[in-house]
Amino acid sequence: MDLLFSLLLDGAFLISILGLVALGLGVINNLLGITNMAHGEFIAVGAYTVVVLTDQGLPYWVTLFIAALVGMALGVLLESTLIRRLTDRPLDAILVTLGLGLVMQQVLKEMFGSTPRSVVSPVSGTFDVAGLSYPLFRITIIVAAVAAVAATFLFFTKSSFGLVVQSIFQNRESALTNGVNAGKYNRLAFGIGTGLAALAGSLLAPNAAVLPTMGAFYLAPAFVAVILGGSKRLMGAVAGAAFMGGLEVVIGESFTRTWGRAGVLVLAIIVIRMWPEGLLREPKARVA
Amino acid sequence: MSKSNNNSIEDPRESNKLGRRLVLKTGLGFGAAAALAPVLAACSSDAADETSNTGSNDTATSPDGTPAEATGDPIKVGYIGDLTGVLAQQGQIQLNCFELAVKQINESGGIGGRPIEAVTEDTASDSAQAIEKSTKLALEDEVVTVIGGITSSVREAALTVLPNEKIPFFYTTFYEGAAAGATACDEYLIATGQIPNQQVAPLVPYLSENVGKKYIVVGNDYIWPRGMTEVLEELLVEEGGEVVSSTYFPLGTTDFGPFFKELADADADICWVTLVGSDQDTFLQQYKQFGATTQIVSLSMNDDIAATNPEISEGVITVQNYLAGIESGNNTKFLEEYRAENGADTFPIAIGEGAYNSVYLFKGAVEAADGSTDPTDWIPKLSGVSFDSPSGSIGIDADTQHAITNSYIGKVGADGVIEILDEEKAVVPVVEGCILS
Amino acid sequence: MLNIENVVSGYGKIKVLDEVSFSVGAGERVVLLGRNGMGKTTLAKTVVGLLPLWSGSLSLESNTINDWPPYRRTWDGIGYVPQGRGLFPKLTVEENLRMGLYGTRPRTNSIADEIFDYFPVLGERRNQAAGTLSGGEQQQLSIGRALVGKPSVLILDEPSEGIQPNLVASIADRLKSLAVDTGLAVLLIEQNIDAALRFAERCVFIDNGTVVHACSAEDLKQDESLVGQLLGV
Repeated sequence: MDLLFSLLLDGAFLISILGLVALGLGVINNLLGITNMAHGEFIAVGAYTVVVLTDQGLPYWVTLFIAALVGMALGVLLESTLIRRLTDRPLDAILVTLGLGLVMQQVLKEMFGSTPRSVVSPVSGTFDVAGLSYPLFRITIIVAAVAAVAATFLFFTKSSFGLVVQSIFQNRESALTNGVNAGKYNRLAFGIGTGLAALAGSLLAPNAAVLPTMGAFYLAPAFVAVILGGSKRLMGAVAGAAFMGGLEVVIGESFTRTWGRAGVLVLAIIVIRMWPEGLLREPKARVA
Repeated sequence: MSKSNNNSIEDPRESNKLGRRLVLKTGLGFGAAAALAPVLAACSSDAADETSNTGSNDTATSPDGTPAEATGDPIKVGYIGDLTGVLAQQGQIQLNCFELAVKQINESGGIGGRPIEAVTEDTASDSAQAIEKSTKLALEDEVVTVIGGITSSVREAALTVLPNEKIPFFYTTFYEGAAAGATACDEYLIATGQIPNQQVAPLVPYLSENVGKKYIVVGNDYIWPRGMTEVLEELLVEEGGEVVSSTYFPLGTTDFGPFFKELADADADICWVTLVGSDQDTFLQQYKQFGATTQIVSLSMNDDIAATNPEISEGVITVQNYLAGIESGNNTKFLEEYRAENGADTFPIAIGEGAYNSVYLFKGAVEAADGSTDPTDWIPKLSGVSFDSPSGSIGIDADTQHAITNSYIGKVGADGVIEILDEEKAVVPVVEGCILS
Repeated sequence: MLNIENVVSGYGKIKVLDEVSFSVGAGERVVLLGRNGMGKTTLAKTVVGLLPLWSGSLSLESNTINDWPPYRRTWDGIGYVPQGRGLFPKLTVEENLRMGLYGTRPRTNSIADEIFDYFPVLGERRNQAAGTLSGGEQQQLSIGRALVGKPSVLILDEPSEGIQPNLVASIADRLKSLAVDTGLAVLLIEQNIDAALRFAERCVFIDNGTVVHACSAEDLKQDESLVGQLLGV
């Protein structure tokens, strides 16, 4: 019983962070049609924002929002100067964002050094469930991540901005010929994607060593999660993340932790081979 | 000089006139010119190296008594280390210490008058890069020795390249010795970090006496952590202790959640941590969140980590061949000079001190070999060299080519300062069946 | 209204259109005829801005629109009903129509009721996902959405494709009365000659990327052999 609880909690924790990262990556991938190889560095940007602001004495929960905004602003800035030139060149975009990531890493290294930084958890203490003692802070992280995913989902489905974004998702050419200035939405969507990554980083900051390279751990599974989730559904990336995270925890528990990591990536390749359209497949639109 | 020779062939009279005029103008007497001549001659031919160095002191001095800049043909020394990735922080400190030694030596006359030219390469904790960079240092840069290395995988990778090229490798990090199939006995491997009988062997009895004998192990998944567990288990047979479970996570893990359930179930006295780099920081952070109270013993804890993150490092026990708290004149001077270069609040660490010592040991051996940079000449001289290092007097054991060092057991205090609890002097490295001399 | 002058364009490096010129006047209904693969859709995509113009000139009213992005052309009055309808399948009928509002300048925020007058089925299916409509309903939605954007010239690419003939005729009639009522100019790309002649005033034939013939719809109705000759049927 306690094993089940521990698996569930460990899984939920991993998935909540991974889900945010993958969601951001998915928004960018689906809207702009490019893969943001610098996504991991935005995680670090979020985490360092928290490091700097909590050092200044701001409460952690306030810094979360600022970190997300910093990530978003940086994303919007980079989109309007660099990324927008790459919209129809997905392969160039991979190279350029890869380079961008390295530059960001170096800038962070210059600013903060390569010594890992840490942030004190704002919530201390543990709670006991079924003989298992689990940090309260992790639960708050899971709740915060779920809330962020839900807010993103509502934003994309209920707002007029979301309507436009979905239309771009579903048929980019039609959105353009209906009068949508896609560039403006690309900019915002890229910002939302990087903002989500920064938020993930800010949630991670009190949990892990803060380093310019800290995003690397989440990036590979997030990529696979986005592919698994398919390109037409926003929440597909989150479903993909749940699959990746859940599997990693289960394999890690059954075999070794290293196998958990490697096994998930291998299985993901198999899944992608078998269902190339992703885990959540499109119901085919009816054509008379 | 060769230019004036050419001139004299073309037009001897013109050249003579010019020569006299120059000498008169610069006001240099013949004596000074004559004194310069042999040095310049030595520069132009390798064969002259040995003769020019014979009988010279460690430190070449200029007439006014201050240490002279080394001006001879440079000796190329390579550095490889993890300057990016999980171990970037440790790698940077290792490099800082290496560079400090190079700077000090070059400012005080170099190695028998020849300056050290350092060539730095990043291996990023990656075997493939370690092979590529070692090959580059050996074949392209033609260095005469390589110093550095952190992870065992990088060490093993470098050792597939350097011995073939007859380039000795000073490995400066504590490691698993001959456990887990690691290479510990190679005529081109010189280790200035500690091996288990120097690091763990003094620590385990201390822990048995002061903490307990029941261990739970968490480490990164590669050769060093697994090798260290092997060594620990062997030592515990004598002590009557046990390792109840061991878990290994891949490098770069950011969530150790699954381990804490095991920890809670294990009821161990000691949590034996062989996580490296930022993984250790992440682990300690989460350790605190999970409210765990088992005594942590971490072999990669150091002053730098403790000072940067005291709130999570407090209470951790470690054992190292160098700790900043060592009270000696040499260490005070070392700390001063390190901080002058790298900042007031910075700390050198054991693997850095190992790199620092390596440069000096290399210098000593080359000078003892009359300035020869041929390893067959200077390696045999290593065991005769002793160096007053920041951590005390050290030397190289002739049989194993590993350093004879002191061991310091320390515990991180609430202020992030590692307090030295116990020490053992001049521990001789033991690598079974290894006789290189 | 819409002037197409010496337009050269194509996909990637493959030239499809070679010096196409014709124009659509205000309130005029023109049908563009031609065999498959002769450049009709290429022309439509070039005019709306989905394909780059290689050379030549496109103008709308007095503006040269050569380098305008698609949305800018829509804002200035081009409406587009693409081949295959180009709907947003998971959005509802109403949401699809609302997307048409993004083409209005000045920006309006409500869908004109007359859209539902012309296409009552859209009112009945307001909250249904577009992807679940029948082909005829989808076509009406696509036309309706383009009209929501208040175009001055509407370009329709093969709207009769995959729709029952009687419905095609009905849609053509409704569109015709709409054009007459509102003074909307229409450029219709069509393979279905009957529907085309029922609707248009003027015909332009395109073959191998160039205009090969232009005439009034009346001329075609009287000389049906001309159609066979030009379309190679």
